[in-house]
Amino acid sequence: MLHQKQIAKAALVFSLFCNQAFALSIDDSKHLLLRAGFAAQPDLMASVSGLSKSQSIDLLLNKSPKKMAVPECVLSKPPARKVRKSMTKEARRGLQKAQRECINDFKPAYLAYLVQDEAILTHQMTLFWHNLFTSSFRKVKSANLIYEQHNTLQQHALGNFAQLLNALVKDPAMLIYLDNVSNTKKRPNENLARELLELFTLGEGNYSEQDVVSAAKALTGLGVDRNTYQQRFNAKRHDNSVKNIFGTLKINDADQLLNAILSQAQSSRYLTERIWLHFISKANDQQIERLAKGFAKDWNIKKLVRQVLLSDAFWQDQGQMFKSPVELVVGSGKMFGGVKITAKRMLRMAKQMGQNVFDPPNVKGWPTGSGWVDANTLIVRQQYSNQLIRALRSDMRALNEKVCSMSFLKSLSAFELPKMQSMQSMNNDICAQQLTQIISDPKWQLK
Amino acid sequence: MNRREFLRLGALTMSSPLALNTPLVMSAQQLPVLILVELNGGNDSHNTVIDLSQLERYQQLRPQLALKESERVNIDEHFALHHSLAGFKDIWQQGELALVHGLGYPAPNKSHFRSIDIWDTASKSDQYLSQGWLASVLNKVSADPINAMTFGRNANVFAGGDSRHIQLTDLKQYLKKKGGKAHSQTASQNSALSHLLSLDQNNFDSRVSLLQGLSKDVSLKTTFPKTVFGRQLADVAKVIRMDLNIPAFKVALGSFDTHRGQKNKHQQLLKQLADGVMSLREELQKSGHWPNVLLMTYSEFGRRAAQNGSGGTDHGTAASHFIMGGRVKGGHHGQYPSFEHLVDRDVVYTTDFRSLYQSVVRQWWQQNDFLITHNLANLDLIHES
Repeated sequence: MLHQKQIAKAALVFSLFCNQAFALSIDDSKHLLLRAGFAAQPDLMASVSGLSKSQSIDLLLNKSPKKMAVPECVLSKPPARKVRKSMTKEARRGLQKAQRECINDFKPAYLAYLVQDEAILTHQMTLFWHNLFTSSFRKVKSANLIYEQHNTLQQHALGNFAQLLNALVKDPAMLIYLDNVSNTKKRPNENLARELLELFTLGEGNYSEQDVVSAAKALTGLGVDRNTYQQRFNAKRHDNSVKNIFGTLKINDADQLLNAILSQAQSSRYLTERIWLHFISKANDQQIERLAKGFAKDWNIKKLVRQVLLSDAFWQDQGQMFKSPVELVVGSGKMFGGVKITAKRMLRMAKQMGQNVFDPPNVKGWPTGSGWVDANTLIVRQQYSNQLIRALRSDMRALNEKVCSMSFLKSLSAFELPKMQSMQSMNNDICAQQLTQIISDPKWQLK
Repeated sequence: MNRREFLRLGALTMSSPLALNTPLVMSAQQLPVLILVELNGGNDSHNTVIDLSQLERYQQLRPQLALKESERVNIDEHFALHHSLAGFKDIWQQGELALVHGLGYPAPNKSHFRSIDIWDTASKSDQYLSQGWLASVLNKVSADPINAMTFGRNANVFAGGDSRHIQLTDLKQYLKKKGGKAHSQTASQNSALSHLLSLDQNNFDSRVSLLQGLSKDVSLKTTFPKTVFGRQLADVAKVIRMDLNIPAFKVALGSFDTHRGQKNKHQQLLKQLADGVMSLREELQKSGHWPNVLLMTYSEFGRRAAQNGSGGTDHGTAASHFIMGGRVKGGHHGQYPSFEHLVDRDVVYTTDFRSLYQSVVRQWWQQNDFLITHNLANLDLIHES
C-alpha cells in the first residue's frame, strides 16, 4: 500500500514539475497576459519568454504599480460641516458641479494610467475588488473619497483579505454608499450589514435574516466625521448589547463581526470562487474547496491568485471568457500605444459598453460572464472596433514597424488566426486588412 | 423557407423598398402584446396601494411615511393609491386596471439579486433556474425573427431559452449604429462565442424587421414624458404600431431601493410610472392597439411593513401590482396582506406570483398547456376578445 502511495506521489511531483518547469509556449504567454492583464503586449511577451508558468506568474505578481498622476481636485477633502452650512444654495450647487467635473477628469486619468502602468495583475485585482466592494460616485458625490477608496483597494489588491475587508467596511465612501452613516442604535439601517454578508463575504443564502439584524446592530455608530471625512466611531450611537450571529457566536462591535464572518468556512469558499471565476470561465468545486481551505488560514490574496493561475483549469480555458469593457479599451491601448484614441473616448466607449468606472450600476457591481454582452452593448463593442480600425488605418505608415509582423498579429487574438501566408515584412495594405479582420471578428471580444 | 430566412434573404439581396413595404404575412388579428414594467429595487407597495381598512395600523407602523389623506387618492371604499398615481383612477373606473394584491412566494428572499432572479425565472425560493419564465413560450406565440425587446436593464425574463430577443436603450440610437451581421451558423463548442454570434444574428434580424416597420408612419400622436422611462415607452408604442408581431416588451424604472429619505424619491418615481403609462395608453388607444395590450408591473419584493429610522424602508416581501389593458378584467384580485400578521417583521404573501404569470400566459396568448408548476391557482384576468 505504502509503496503504491509513494509511486503515486512521485508521479504527481513529476507531473507538477513537467507542468510548471517548462518554458511557456507563445500561446500560453498570450493567454496568461490576456487574463492576468489586459493584452498580450509585446514588452511583457518578451519578459515572460523562456520562463516557466510559475516564474512568469511570479514576475507579474511582483510588479509594483507606479503612482498615478491625478487631477489636483481629487486631493482636496470636501469642505467641513461649518463651511458647508454657511454656503449659499448656489455655492453648494457650484461645489457639486466642481465635484462632477473632478470625477470626470479622474476617470480618464485612471484609464490612461492603466494603459501605461506595468503592474497589470495588481490592476486586474484592483478592478476585481472595485467590483466586489462597490461604491459609486453617484451616491458618494465626492471625488476625493472615491479616490481614497480606490487607493485602499489598490494597496491591498494582492495583500491580506482580512485587512482589506476591515479597511473597506470602515472606508468613508463605503459608509456613505451603503447608508451606515445613518445606522444608529435608535434607528438601525441594514443596508451595509446585508450587503456585507450577501455580496462581500458569504454569498446569498449563507446567512439568516437574524444574522443581518445582528450585523446591522454591530455596525451601529460606525460613521464618517462630518468635518474631517475620516471614519469615526460614535459610542453613543452604538448598540452595546451582545448579539447572536451564525447560531452560536456572540459579538458586539464591527471588529468582532468581521472576525465572526471570517471564522465561517463559507467566507473563504465564497471569495475563492469569486477570484477563481475572475480568471477562469467555469467553476471547479473540488479545486475551489481545496484552495479555500488554504485561503482561510492566511487570507493571502497573492498566494491564492498564484494558485488559481497555476491550475490546469486556467491553462485549458483559452478564449472562453468575455473581455470586460475596461479590458477591451485598456488592452487595445496597451497593444497599439500611440494610436489616436484618447482616454476620454476610451472612457465614453467603456461606459456605453456598460462599465462606467467608479460608478457601478448597483451594489452588486458590473455583470460578469455572458452578462457583459447583450444585443446593445455588442453593437457598441463593434463600434469601438471600427473606431480602432479607422485610427489604425489612418496611421499605418507610423505603425507599420510596430504592428505589421506575424508575431504581433498572432498575439492580438485569443484564437488561432486563419492561415496567413508567412512573410517577413508586410506592406501596409495587407497589414491593414489583417488588422481589420482580427479586430472586427466577434472573437476579438473574447479572452 | 420560413419567414426568418425569407427576410434575411430579402435583406441580403436588397429587394426594392416597395417590396419591403408590403407586409409579408397579413395577420387576421393583431397579436396580443405583453409589456412588463420592472420596478427595479423593490417598490414600497404599502405606500403605493393603501388598504384603508388597515389605516390605523399602517399609520402606527409608519409614523413619518404613512400617506396623509391629501396624499392619497381613493379608488373605492376600501383602497387608495399614492397621489402620484391619481391618473390611474380614471383607468380604474373604466375597468381597465386590475390590482393584484399580496403577490409573493413562500420563504421569501430579501436579496435584490436573488429575489429578482426568482421573479424572472418563476422559480421556487430554493430553486435555481437558468431560463426566464417567458424564454420558451414566445416562440409558440410568434415565429417572427424577433419576439421580445428589452429597453434598459435586465432581460432575464427572456433569456436562456429559444426566444430571440434584443436589448437596447433607445430605438433611434440602436438603428443608427447599424449593428448586426448574419452568420451561417451560430453554434460553437465555445459557449462564449456562440453567445456573441447569436446576438449578432439577432441584431441583424431585428434591424431588418425594424427598418421594415419604420417604412410605416408610426409618428407618435401623444406627448410622452421626457424621462428615460417615458422615451422608452414611446419607443415601445412605436414598435407596437409597426405591427411586427413582437409579443413581449420589457422596460424598467428605478431605483425603488428607498432605504432613506423615501418620501420625495418614491413620489417622483411613481409619477414617472403614471405619466409614462398614461401616455402609452393614450397613444395605443388612438392607434387602435390598446385592446391587444397588457401591461404588468413587477418588482423583486415589497418593503418592510414598518418604516426604518432613516425615513425609508428596508427590504420586505409581498406587494400589490398593476395589470392594465383594454381587455383586462379590472378590479381587485387576491387579498391585501394583513399588517397584524407579520413574520420576521414582514407581511405574508397571499397570491403566488407564479399564479399570475401562468394565468397571464394561458389567457393572454391562449397557451393552455403552459405550466410553471402544478397546483397554482388560476386568476381570471382577461376578457375574451
